[in-house]
This record gives sequence, C-alpha cells and structure tokens, in this order.
Amino acid sequence: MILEGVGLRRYYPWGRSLLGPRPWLRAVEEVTIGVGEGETVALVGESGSGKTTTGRLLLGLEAPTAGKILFKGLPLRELPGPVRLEFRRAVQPVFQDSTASLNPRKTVAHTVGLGLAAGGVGPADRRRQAARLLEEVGLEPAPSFLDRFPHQLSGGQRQRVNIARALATAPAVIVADEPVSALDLSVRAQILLLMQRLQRERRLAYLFISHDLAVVRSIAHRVAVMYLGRIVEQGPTEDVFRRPCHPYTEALISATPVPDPRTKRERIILPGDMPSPLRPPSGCPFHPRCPVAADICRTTFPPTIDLANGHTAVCHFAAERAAAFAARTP
Amino acid sequence: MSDLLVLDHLTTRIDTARGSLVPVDDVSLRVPAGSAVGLVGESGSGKSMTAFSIVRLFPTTAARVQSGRVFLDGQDLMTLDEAALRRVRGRRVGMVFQDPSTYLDPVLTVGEQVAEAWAMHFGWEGAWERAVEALGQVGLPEPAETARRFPHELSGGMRQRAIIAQAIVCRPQLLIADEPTTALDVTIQAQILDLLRQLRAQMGMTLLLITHDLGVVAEMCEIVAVMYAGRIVEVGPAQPVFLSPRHPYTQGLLASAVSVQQAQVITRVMEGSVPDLRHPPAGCRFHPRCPHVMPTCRTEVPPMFACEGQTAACWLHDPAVVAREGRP
Repeated sequence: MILEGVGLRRYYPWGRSLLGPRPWLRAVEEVTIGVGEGETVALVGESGSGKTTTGRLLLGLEAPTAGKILFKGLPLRELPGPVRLEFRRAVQPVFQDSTASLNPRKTVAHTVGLGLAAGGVGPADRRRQAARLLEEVGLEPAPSFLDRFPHQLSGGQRQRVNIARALATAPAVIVADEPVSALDLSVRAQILLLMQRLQRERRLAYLFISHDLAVVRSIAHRVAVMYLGRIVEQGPTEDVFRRPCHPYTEALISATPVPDPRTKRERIILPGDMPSPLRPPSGCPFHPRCPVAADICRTTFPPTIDLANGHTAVCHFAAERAAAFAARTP
Repeated sequence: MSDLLVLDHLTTRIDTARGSLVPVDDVSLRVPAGSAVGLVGESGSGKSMTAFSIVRLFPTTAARVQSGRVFLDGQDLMTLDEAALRRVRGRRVGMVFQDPSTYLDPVLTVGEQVAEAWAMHFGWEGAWERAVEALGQVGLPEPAETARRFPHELSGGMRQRAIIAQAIVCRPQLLIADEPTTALDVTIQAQILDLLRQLRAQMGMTLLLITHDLGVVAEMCEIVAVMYAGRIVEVGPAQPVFLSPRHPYTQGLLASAVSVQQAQVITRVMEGSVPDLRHPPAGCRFHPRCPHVMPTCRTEVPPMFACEGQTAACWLHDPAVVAREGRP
C-alpha cells in the first residue's frame, strides 16, 4: 500500500447544546482503506456518506479526529520534513468542479507550472514541460493551450488541465473526487479512458470517489461502499457487484438505471432518506431503511464478516447472503 | 393511439447582445396519449428549451418561438394568447423541473403552494383539501401534517415529491418532467421514478421526460428521441433505438455509457464535444465528430430517414449519397 487510512474518524462540532455534551457530527467512523501501486480503489456512496471527507483525510487536507494516515507505511503525522514534502508531491487531488479548481486569472501554463516548480523545475524549463504534460492529457496542439485562461476551455478541457496539474509533481496516487460527475456522457468517457491510460503508463494509483456505480464498476479494481460515515462493504469490484452481501450495496446496484430497455429486474426501493449523522440509529445504522432488517439489527452493531478474497461486509447476515449466492451459481 | 402532443417543425431562437442562437431547430415530435416519451441529449442539445417552448415559458425573455406549431390534444397552442396559455399551464400540462429547492417558495408552506396551483384554475374553495390529497398521492407521509411544513423542513426527495404534487394537483393530461431526478441521490431517484410510474398508471397521464441519463430513459420510456445541438437526430421505440441505433451520434452515446450490470470497459469514445450553438457547424451538426462523415454531410442538413423501427437524420440512410460518396 502506498497510501492507507487506518481506523479513521472525523467528527465536527455541530451547533450548541445548553444541557449535556456538545453534539458531534460524525462524518467518518472507523474507516480503514488503502491503495496500492497501479490500482484503482473506488469509494462509493450517496451524499452525506462521508466519502469526500475520507478523501480529504487521505490527502492530508484535514487531520483525522482519530486513526492514522500511512504513507508508504509511515504515519503521516510523524513524517520528517523531507518525507512530508515527498508526500505532498506524491499524493495529488482532482476535484469534481473543474472551474472552481482552477484560478480564473491564471493561464494554463501558470497553473501546470506551479506543480512543476514544486518539483524543482526551473522557470526556463517549465513551459516546455507543461506543454509535454498537456500533450499527455490529450490537449493538442499543446502550445495553443498554454496561454489560455480557464474560461476559454470547455468543461472536459478544464478537467484535462486539472489532471495535467496533478501530474506535474509526478504523483504516485491521485485522489479523484467525482472527477467525471459534472461532465456530459461523451466527455466523461474520454476522461475515464484518459485516466486508465495514464494509470497504465505511470503506474498511478487512484482513490476514485464517486456516487455512480456504473462508472465505478467499469474503472475500479476494488470498491468500498460507504453509508453514514462507515464502509459497509468492500472487496474486489467484480466480487462486490456479482455478490453484494450488504443489503445497501444490493439496493444501490438495483437503484442504478441500466441503459438497456430489455432489462427486467426486481427493483429494491429503499424507503426514506439517509438519517442524520448527528443522530445515527441504534444497532446497524442501516436498519431503518433495510428491507431485511431483523430484531438483532435494531440493537446490535453488526460485525465485519470476512467473505474470502478480501471481500468483507458489515452485516449480521452477510455470511448467509454469501452462501445463498454460492448456492445459486454452481 | 392518437397523439396528445405534436411538435411540428418547432424552432426557437434566443437573441442576445453577443449574437443569436437557435437552441431548438426544426424539431418535430409526436407524443401518443398515455405514452412515456424520453427526450435525451447532452447539455446544450436543446432538450430543455424544447420543453420550455411547448408552453412558451422561458428562463430568459430573450427566447421566443420563431416558427412551427405545437398541438395539445388537437389544439394549436401557438395561436393562444398569454391569458389562454396560462389556463393550459398547470391545468392541462404539468411541469416538474430539476432543482427541487429553487421551484418552491421558502416562505410558504408546501400545502399553500400546492393549493395555489389548484386555485389558479379552480378557485380557493376546497383547494387545501385537494392539496392534502395530492400530497398523499405523491407518497408523502401524513399529508395533512406535511402540508403545514415549509420547504426547508423537508428532505430533497420529499421536496421533489411536493413539486410533483404541485404539477399533478390539477390532474393534467401531460406531465413534462425536466431532469426530475438529476439532483437526487440514486436511492431517492429510484423512489421518484417509481412514483412517476405509479402516477402514470393511476391517472393515465402522458409523460414527456427530459434527461441526459440513458438509463433513466431506458427504464421509463417506450419512445426515445435523441437530440444533438438543437435537432432531433434519431427517434423511435426504445428497443430499436437502444439496441440498433441508426445515427452515429446515438451509437457513440451508447458506446460511452456503462452499465452497472456488466463488467465492461469503455473502449470507444466520441472525440470532441457538443458545438457552440452560436456557431453551429453547417450541414449535419454532428459531422465534425462523425466517424462516417461524407462530403454531403458537411453542407446539407440531413432529413429524417425511415429505418426499420425508427427514423434517423443521417445521410448514411440515403442510398444515393452512400453510393456516390460512401466508403466501400
């Protein structure tokens, strides 16, 4: 693992309470996740699931309330100065909003050049190297893009610039938070293809944060599903999609529309909304919406069930569900 | 089956200080009574402006319908003045838009807003009772209680249900839903799509669904129209359009989509992006991105050609052009 989070928690103080303790918003609870070289790990979940906060913790943009971040096995908090700089170069973000991520008053050459400068590239060389990076992300002819401002680019081109900027420090890991969610379908496909090519060529690791299960299935090697701040299921992508052992994962897959009118399937429609992380439900946090909740789910927090192959699910009935899948497919 | 809604060569233009553009260019479409028709396209395809043009309710005063006609149940809406059109909006055509928070007034309770939608057409007598009934119809729990709540007290999914209640309270023949689930999480989207299916079945309502999401169209609609840069490029029953698309743009769009049900990687993508409508390409607007482009495509606007199950606006379906210019 290049980058790992172990037992991460992130609580935010929320409002005031005259009597009793101050309430905490528990955005991330007990999250353990890591990415290895050349690997894509997807973090999926709905809004408020804590996936973005987890990404920010792994980027070092926020300090965890508890738990630790490991960079090449070393705890981030104790990294000596030079290694800390190496961490900053090696772990780079790409965000959803390609416009907000770029300074509107700086040219593409300047934006990409900042990363190069951080990597020790002198002013004379920066323009040439920036052009090479633009070429690498498919902005050609590169010289014609160097002096453009963000507003002179399309959404897809801006996201390519953001990727080029991330690549400027020759990172090992890119934490991409919904990198294609704001893009149109045809442009989204271009960016996904680009990210996959860069991964092959540079042995990049991606932590790919997304709400779109179809995109995740096409791009990720491993997937972790989050609900209310916790990872409820994780494992190799195909394992999780073929044998979803947590009812929430199954419902998410079932709720995702399929672009094929022949698809006939039983839809699982979860009732209600995700509860507030200020007042998480007792027992299993998913039980109020769970179609198969039993008495134990209302009272007891479920154990993490190991389903082999690195596939785990936090559900009292995960083992039974796995057995049912095994019985169905000989 | 008769057509409830017919768009006949509808063209809408927007005149701005920086030039004019035609976001809806010669669009013709038939929506059979009781059906669900999906209008699908990427941003800038003109799909929302087409919806606005039907009831002439534009987000900008610079937009106006330039030519063409719109028939609702045989009546030409283009001949109606503003007052007459107001009696159509909400009463005979219900509308649901993308963002559930911007279409609700924060200082009025949801009950008042739904009641108002009814009272606009039928007066205030009995409006509150009818509003509570509509809120129940859209699956809001304890509708009498919920009616007294303000929009900010509801979740995003509940707000979208309230908007739908507002749209259906007058029992319209046609519901136009413009990206009704785009701002919602996927489990909430599933709830809202299920609700729209139920309402269709219960009220015999016709649905015109505007979306960028091919999956939503495939699940909800029997007929699909694909728009690109202001024009409909392909239209037909959902199965042939999805399974054997006849327009290269539809083909490219479907190749760009991934399914949650299959382990698949994207291998083929359309290069480039949707053109700027201020300066649309001549001829077929897709020609700069088309892998099959021929000389005619660069200069001549393709008409709709009937293919087996559907129609497609592409010169590849004109045997004479293909014989003359097509690649062997």
